[in-house]
Amino acid sequence: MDSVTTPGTLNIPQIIRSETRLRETTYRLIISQLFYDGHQQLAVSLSNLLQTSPPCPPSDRLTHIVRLGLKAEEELEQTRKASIVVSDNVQDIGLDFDYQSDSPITSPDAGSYETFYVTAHKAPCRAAAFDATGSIIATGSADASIKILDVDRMLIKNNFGLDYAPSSIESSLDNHPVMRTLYDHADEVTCLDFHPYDPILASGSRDYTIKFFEYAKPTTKKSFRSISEVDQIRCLNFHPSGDWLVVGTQHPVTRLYDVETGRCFVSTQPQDQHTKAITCVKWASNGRQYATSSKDGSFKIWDGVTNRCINTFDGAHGGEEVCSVMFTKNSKYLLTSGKDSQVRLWELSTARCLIHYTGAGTLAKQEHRATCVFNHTEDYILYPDEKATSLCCWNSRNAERQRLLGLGHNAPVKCIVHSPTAAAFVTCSDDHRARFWCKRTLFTD
Amino acid sequence: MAQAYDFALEKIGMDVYSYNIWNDYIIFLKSVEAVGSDAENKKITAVRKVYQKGIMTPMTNVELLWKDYCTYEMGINPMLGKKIIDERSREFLNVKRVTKEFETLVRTIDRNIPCIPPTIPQTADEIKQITAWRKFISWERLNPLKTEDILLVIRRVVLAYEQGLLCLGYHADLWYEVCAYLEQTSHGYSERGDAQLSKRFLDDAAILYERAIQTYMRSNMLIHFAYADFEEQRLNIDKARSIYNRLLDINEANLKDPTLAYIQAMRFERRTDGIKSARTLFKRAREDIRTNHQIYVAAALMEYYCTKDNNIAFNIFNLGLKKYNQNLDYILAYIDYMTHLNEDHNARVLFERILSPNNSIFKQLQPTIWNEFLKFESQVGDLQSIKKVEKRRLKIYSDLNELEGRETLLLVDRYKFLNLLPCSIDELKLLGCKDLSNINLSSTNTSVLTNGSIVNGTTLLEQAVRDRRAILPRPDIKHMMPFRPTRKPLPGSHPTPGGAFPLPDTALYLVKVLPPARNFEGPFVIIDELMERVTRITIPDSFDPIRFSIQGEVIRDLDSSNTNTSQQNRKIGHGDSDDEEQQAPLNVSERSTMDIYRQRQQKRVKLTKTNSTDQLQSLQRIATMTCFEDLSGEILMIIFEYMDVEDLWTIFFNMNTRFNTLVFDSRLRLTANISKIDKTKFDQFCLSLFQTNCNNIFILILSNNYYRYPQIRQFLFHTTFMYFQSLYSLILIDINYDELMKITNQIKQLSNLNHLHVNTHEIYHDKQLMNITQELFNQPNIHVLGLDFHEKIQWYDIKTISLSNIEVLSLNFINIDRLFLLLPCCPHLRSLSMTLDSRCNSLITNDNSESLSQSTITYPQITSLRFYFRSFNISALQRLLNALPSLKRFSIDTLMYKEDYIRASFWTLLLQQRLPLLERVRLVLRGFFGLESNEKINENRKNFIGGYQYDQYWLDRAHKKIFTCYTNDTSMVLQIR
Repeated sequence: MDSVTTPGTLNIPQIIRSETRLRETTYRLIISQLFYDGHQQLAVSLSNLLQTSPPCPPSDRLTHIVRLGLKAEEELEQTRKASIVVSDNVQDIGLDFDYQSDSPITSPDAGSYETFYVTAHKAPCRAAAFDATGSIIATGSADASIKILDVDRMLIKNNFGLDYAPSSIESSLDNHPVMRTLYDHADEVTCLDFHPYDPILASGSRDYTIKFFEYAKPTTKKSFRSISEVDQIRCLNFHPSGDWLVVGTQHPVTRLYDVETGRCFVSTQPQDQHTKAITCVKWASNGRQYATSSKDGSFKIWDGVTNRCINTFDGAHGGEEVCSVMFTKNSKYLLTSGKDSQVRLWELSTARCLIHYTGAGTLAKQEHRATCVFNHTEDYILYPDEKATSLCCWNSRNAERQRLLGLGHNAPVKCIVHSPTAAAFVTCSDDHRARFWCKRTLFTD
Repeated sequence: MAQAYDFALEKIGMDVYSYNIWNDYIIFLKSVEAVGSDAENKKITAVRKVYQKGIMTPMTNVELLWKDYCTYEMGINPMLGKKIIDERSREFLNVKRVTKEFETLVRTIDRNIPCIPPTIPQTADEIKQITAWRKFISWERLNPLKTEDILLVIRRVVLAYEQGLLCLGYHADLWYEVCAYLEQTSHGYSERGDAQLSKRFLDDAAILYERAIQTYMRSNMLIHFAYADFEEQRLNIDKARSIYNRLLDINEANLKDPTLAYIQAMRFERRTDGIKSARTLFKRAREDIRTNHQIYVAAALMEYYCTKDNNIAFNIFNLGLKKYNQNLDYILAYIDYMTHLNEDHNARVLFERILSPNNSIFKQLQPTIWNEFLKFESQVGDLQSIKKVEKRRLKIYSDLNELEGRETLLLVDRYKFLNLLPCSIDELKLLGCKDLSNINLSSTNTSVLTNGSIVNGTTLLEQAVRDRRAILPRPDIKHMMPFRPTRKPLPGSHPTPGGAFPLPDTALYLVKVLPPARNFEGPFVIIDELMERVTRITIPDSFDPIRFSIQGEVIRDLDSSNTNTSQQNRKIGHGDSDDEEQQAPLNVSERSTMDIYRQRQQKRVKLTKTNSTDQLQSLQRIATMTCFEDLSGEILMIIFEYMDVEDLWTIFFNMNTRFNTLVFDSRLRLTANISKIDKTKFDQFCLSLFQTNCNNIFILILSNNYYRYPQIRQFLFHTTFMYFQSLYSLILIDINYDELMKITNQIKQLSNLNHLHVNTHEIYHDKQLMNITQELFNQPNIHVLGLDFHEKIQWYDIKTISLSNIEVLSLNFINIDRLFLLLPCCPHLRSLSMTLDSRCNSLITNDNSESLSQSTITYPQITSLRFYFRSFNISALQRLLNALPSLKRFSIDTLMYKEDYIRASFWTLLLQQRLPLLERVRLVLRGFFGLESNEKINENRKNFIGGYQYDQYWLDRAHKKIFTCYTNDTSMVLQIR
């Protein structure tokens, strides 16, 4: 090892332990490699920029190390694969910039989706949710009702019913896509979320209550439990275990509810809280943290165990209200949208904005909130444009804009939810309608 | 064409998605040109047949088919059609019900997934698909159509299987199941004597097996064996043999280790052809280089068990040993065989042969063989040979450097039998035994394996989900604060705004269980008195045990002397003479226990006697010391009344029950000066005020001035004055007209409101001003009124004021005429304070006669006058003093320019004449000194002012009172109190 001969350099464990030293070593290796490969100019300019001392000798070591590293990675991967008994879809790693980013995109972009089913409420539709398997959808409306829709039935209906005799089909109740309609709230249903494991739907409303429905029971009309709040509920989200519920209301204090007992907890530090109403709240899928966004223009990352605020991003969208947050599946990145019609991707480990997705809201400034989502593979980002009522779509890795998709709504689309498992999403609009969109080739025979 | 359709429907007409074909067929049949009635009839029957078949098949859109059929029948012959439809509709309903179930089952199945070999860590999707298919198939087997036609059921089941196999062709279990199913059904038919059907199904099964081994199951031995057995059962020996041959075919390179296949084939041959052909097969196997040592073991054992020929078996083993003398498993099998033969000698020879130095078996493998040897010897040999073997074994261990002085362990080996050990497990652990744990583990391992083989996909999936759920980090409530969201929490009830602390769980439960608080109607403990009692109590020097008798009387047992007990007895007798007989024995027993108790107590008293005096003193000292909370409630309440209500609540509310009751005591009279609260706090406070106890508010100060927000409007928005029933004094600052009108309307209801002060900079129109003053004067309850409008009060029509109850009036800017118009309306007025406008002087001089006549009316009830004169006017003052003859307190603050007026003699004369009863005087004279040059002031000051200090009148007045007279640059003050 040349670490012994060169003064000032450290042994390997020391380097690995310290992040900055690791970086420094990496840069030095890069410069050495450049020298070695004959890119003199680049190497000199880089070493000037980084002010490396002592100067780096030309060396092939980096190539060598990369070779070793790739091999080790492969082995690691194999052992990991072998160790997991039931693995999820292996290629489904989602968005992660630490791994190869040049893999071809297999999922369809927004332009190729089609409307499969439309359901109408009696008032603006403002909330929707997919269950964990992507087979059930719930939509909530300002008319205080919740509809539960079955994805498979919608697909069957579309595939068979519409092709032959759409008018002559008697909508027998058993086979209707709308499984249930729940009227238990007294005011607008503002948010919905499915329990990750059990067939339970949680809904929050402006009537100051959170209600839990056992939607799988055919007799369900009313909630089997409810938590009464003292303010309008704006957003809620289940902990990945389904045992906890974090709730955002018109009041700036973030509440954490124990679903079992209905007890409420807050952070021990009052200064952790937002200063205005909370607009969105989401758990990371690993349960280690959750994020809240607020009207005060900031979003916060909270520790999932201690319920303390870890980080606050003030003025994340130029001081405008932050409308939605969404974690990537690996919980490393956070996607936010704001009333400045921009979507940003944040790296949480370094607390910085990685990618800026622009181009929405060019017609006019948006007035209402709008959510942005990843598609199921996290290759694309979908965001409804308020004035154009079309769907903006970006490649999540390089922020390249894709084809627009006209949504066919007559009013602003305030909510969009993508299925966690398949190429399908739901848009909710103020024109009272919720549309179910799907990629056709996937399901047709 | 029709045949093609028929064929298609025969094959896949039972599929859930077969509607297309049925529909197409019917359309096709309908479209066929039929000439002549005969052909027409034929066509109709054909169509009807297809329809009737179709509607009996559960599939999606069967309702459509039904509808079409109905219309079709009705189109042909309405009468007959109706009958047919009625007949059919019941069956159709059944089909429809089945279709529903069918669809739900099929929905989860994805028929388009490619048929690929299953990956060993099964993905969630695969598991889901498999379970879906299984569910579907078992549903079909349950005969959901409830049909009598068993053939149909079988066809449907087989179709389901076949469809499943299209997607799951690599699942051997499915293949086997379908074949077994077919075999079983054929069995059923053969029992019933239907040879043809049973043959058909057997053929079907054979075809399926054939398909399996031709396609996906090419390398699966299980299916091959099953197939061969199946054929063997059908007595198709040749077929079975060919199956084995195919499996063993060397050209088919898909079988890596055909040993098992050879063994099975050998067994098959023995069964069918006898041992001879089995031997030929064994020969073939020996020649096959792919086979393993097991074939030798199998062959040898077969020879041994079947032909009962030791020698052949022995030979085979020896043959194998030549080839596999390194293979431990083989050797062990051989040893096992030998030991079971009960030929000790041969066995020993074998051991020696194996372990001989020229046999180059690996040293690492030797110990196991040695163990076997030892076991063998300890079973059959004598102690000598055992020892010998042991010694040799020890040598091996020491050669391997594994001994490390653990000879004892090896000794243990000698004595153990099955799982019985010569010492306990703990002892073995102490000995450092490794083998033991291995043994135990292996036994548990096998059991786990057998258990694990039962575990199927879904349970695996559930397990995975549960695992994932279990490893998720969870919120830890130890790091958080409990929180109860509250609409309008009292200030300071939780560090985080917008909530309060919830009760602890147990307390919450208690609260839930308890009846509501309003049900409780005393007795209430007066805490103050109780505390007082406690503090006043004198602690006796000696300890007296006190007990209560059953009647609740205090039993004092100071001494065991008879006098006391007799007294006590008498007391009890007094209380309840009838029960005396019953009471007496009870008392006796009581006393005996008491005696012991008392004796102990006396001992204790003796022990502590030396310290007792000191203790007493310290107790007394504590009693005299007062903390804040030791103060009596009355004093605390007085202290509270000096505090502002906001501070009071922030500090004392919810501190403990005593303070709570004090804070909410109805006798408490609080001053709520919320005029200086900023906006955010105000809303909160306002509502908490309203919510909690507005009855305690005695003085309320509201202001629009501070912080520049419309506080009064907010206040009126949040609450109403109706709630403030004990309000005594109300002060309104910078209120505007509308608000004031509103408030005047509200406060009419408040019986206790006595004092109203309005101080405003808002601009009022004359009309408004008039309205509002009239309103205020007409308030029946208000006795003290202060109006500070910063504008002249105008009364256009004084008549609207009925007799007012006002006793104390304070006004800003009023001229003397209007004052005299006002005064008759206020018969109870005692005290008047005002700024007298001197600009009206002209008016008075013009109307001298009238004013004089007016001034003849006097108001003897007014005893106190305090006013501010803008510019001094002697006539106005005289008029005023004429009208108020019984003034006792007089205060004037005036601006004057005439030197004469300042002289003591002027005032002496004026007041002597007008007000002989005067008790308190205050004269403030300003403005004079600023006007002239300094020298003149200094010259004149003494002359003018000095007079007061020496004037006998003033000094008389000041007798036994405080007399002050001082000057400064701008004013001169004379004050007698």
